Amino acid sequence: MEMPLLEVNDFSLTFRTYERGLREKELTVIRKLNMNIKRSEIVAVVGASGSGKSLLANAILGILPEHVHTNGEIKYKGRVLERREQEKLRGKEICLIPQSVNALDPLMKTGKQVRHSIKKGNRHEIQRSIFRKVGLPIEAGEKYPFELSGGMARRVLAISAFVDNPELIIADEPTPGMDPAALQETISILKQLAGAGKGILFITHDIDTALKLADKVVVFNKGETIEEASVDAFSGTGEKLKHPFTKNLWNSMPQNKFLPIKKITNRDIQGELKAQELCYSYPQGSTLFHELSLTIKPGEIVGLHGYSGSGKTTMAKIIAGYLKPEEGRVIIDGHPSQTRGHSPVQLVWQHPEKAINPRWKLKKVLQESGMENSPLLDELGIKKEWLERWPSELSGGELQRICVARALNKHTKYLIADEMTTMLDTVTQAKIWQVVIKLARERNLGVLAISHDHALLDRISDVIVDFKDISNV
Amino acid sequence: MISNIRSLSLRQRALLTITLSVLFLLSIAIGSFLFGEDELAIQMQNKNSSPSLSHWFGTDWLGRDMFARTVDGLALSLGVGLLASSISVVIALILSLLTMWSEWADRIVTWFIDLFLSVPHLVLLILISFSLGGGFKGVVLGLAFTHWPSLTRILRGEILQMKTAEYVGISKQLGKSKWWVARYHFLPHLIPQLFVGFLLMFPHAILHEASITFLGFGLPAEQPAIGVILSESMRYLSVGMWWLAFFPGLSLLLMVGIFDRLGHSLQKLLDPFQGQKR
Repeated sequence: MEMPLLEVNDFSLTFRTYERGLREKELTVIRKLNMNIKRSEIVAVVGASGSGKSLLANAILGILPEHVHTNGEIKYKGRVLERREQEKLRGKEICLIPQSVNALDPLMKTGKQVRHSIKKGNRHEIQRSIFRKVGLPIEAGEKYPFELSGGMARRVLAISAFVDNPELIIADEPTPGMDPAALQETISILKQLAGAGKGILFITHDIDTALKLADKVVVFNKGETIEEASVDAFSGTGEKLKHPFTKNLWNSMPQNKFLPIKKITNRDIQGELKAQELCYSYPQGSTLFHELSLTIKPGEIVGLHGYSGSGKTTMAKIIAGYLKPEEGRVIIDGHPSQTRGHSPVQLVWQHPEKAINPRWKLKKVLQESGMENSPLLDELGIKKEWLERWPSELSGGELQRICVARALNKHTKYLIADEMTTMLDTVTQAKIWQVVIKLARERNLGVLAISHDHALLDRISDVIVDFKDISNV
Repeated sequence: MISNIRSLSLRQRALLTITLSVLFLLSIAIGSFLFGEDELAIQMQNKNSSPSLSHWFGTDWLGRDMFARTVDGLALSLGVGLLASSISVVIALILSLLTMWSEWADRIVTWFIDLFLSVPHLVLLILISFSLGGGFKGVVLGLAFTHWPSLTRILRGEILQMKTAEYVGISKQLGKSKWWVARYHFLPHLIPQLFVGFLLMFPHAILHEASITFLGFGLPAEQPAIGVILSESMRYLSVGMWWLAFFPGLSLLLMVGIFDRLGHSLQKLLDPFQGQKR
C-alpha cells in the first residue's frame, strides 16, 4: 500500500480556560479525529461551523494558540510531525489557504504579496503567469486588497498558497460567496494541483462544493469523525450514508428536502418598504448601482440573488439606514426613513463574530435590544447557558442565532438578511430559516434575503430578484 | 520553591505578582511616614560614611541617613507620578471621547495633540511648571498637561476603528444614543488601553519629575526628591562617594520596573483575551 502523505490518528485537542476566579478548566474541542490523505487525492473535511475544523488545519501547521495541548499523532510522509519540523515545513511543503480575506496585508499591493511567497525563479514572471492562469486581470496585481472584489481577493489568497509548489495544501473554507465562474476556476485549479501529485485537504461546511471537488468526504461533528464516505454515497435521500448526522446534513441542503415551502397567504396588509431609485458609487468613480428600486411587503420574503463583490451589501446597508445613498430614498410604510431612534429595518450581517462586541457576554448582547427573555430564544435553539459565555466561546452558527434574535425585537418590521447563513452548515441554515419564515408569516415581517445561493433562495422566497437586473450597471 | 511557583495556575501567579508589588509600594508609602525628623536630622559625627549595617545606603555630607532620604524621595515620586498620570489619563479619555462627537471636535483635538507634540517635551514641562509657580503643584500640573497627547492619539485611533465596527452600527440602528454607545461599547474597550497608557506614563512622569528637579526647575531643594538627591550627589561623586547616587538611582529604577510588572499582571487577570495565554 502506498504511504499516505498525511495521516491523522486519534487526534485530540484541548483548551485550557478559566471558569471563574482561579479555577482552571479543560475544554476538549477535538475528541477523536482520524483521516489520511494520499498523493493526488482531495479529501474534504465537512462539519458544522464551530466543530473544530479550522483547529485541525492549525494543528497540522503548528500554529495553535499557546493555551492548547494536543494528543494523538499527525504523520507527514510517515514521520510524526514535531514542532520544529512544522516550522520548517509550513509555507514550503505544507501551505494554507486561509478562511478570511483579512489574511491579506491591507497595505501591500496584491501582486507583491504573491511574489513574497515565491522562493525561486523570476518572481514577476511567475506572478503574472499565475494571475493569468486563474483568470485575474494583470492590473489586479497593482491594486490593494480593498480595491478587489471578495471573489478576486480570495483567488489572490489561494494562489499565494500554491504558487511555490507545496506538497500538501490545506484549504480552509476558501470558497464561500464565490460566483459560479470563480468557484469553478478555484475547483479546477485545485483539481489540477491534485493531478500533479499534491495532496489537498479541503475544509468546508459546504457539502455541495465538497462533492464537486473531493474524492472522499470526512464528516466531522462535535469533535469526532463520524463517517468517511466516498463522494457517490451522497445521492438520493442518503441511503448509502451510514450515520444519521450525515444523512441530516445531506437532507438539509436546499437542493434536497430542506423545509416545506409555505407560500405567502395574507397579501392585503398595509405598508411596504420601498427603496426608490438609489444610486451609489465608490469615491474613485466606479458605480455600484444606479436607480435601483426594490419593494418589500410585510409578510413577504424577497430573495435577492447576486455574487460577491456586486454591491449587494452596500445596498443592504443603505436600506437598513447604515449608509446614505447618493440619490434616491428609502420609504418605510409611507414615511421616509429616519436616522434617530430604533429603526424598523434591521440588518443581519454575514459574519456574526464581527457583529457582536467581543467584550460583552451574550446576555448583554441580547439585552441591548431587550430580547434576553424572549420566547424566540427557545425557537431559535439558543440555550440558556450560552448567555453566560463570551462570544469567542461560541461557534459562528450559535452566534448567528443570537444576532437573529437580537434583530427581531418587537419594533422590527423588516429584516434584511445579508448572506445570513452563508458561513453556516446546512442543518443550522435550515433551522434559522425555518424560524425566520415562521415569524415572517406570523408577525407579517418583511424579509429581504440576500444570497449567492440560488437553491436556497428558491426554497425560501416568495419572489426572487436578480441583482444584475435591478442595479442598472 | 520554584517548582511550587510553576505548579500554580497562570492567574494565581499573576495574583502573587500583584500582591508582592502592592506590598512593596505600600511599604514605601508607609516607610516614608515612619522616617521622621530624627532620621533626616543632620548628624555631623556620621557624615560621609559608606553603606553599613546601621546605615544601609550610607550617609551624606551632612550625616543624614541615605536610606531614609531615598524612601522619602520614592514616596514623593510615587505621589507625583500617580497624581500626574491620573490627571493625564482623565484628560486623554475626555478628549478622545470628544473626538467621536463630530468632525469639528475631532479636528480641534487633533490640532491640540499636534501642538503639544511639536514642542520639545522638557521645554514645555519647564514652561508650564514655571508659569504655575513651580513647587509641588507646578510639577504635578506640568507633568499632567504634557503627558496626555500620545495616549489621546492612541485612544482616538481605537475609537475611529470602533466607530466603523458592525456592532456599533447595529447599536445605533437599535436606537441607542451616542452616550449609550460611548458608555457601553467604547469605554470597556478603552479601559485596558487606559491602563497600559497609565503604566507607560507613570515611569515617564517620575523620570521627568526627577530630571526637571535635577535641572533645578522642579521641586524645591529642601524636599528629599530623588531628583534633588541625584543632583546634589553629582558634586560628591568625584570624591568617590558612589553610594549617594547609586542606591537612590537603583531604587527609582526598581520602583518603575515594579509598576510595569504590576500592570502586566493586572492585565492578565482582567482582560479575557490576555488571560488565557502563558
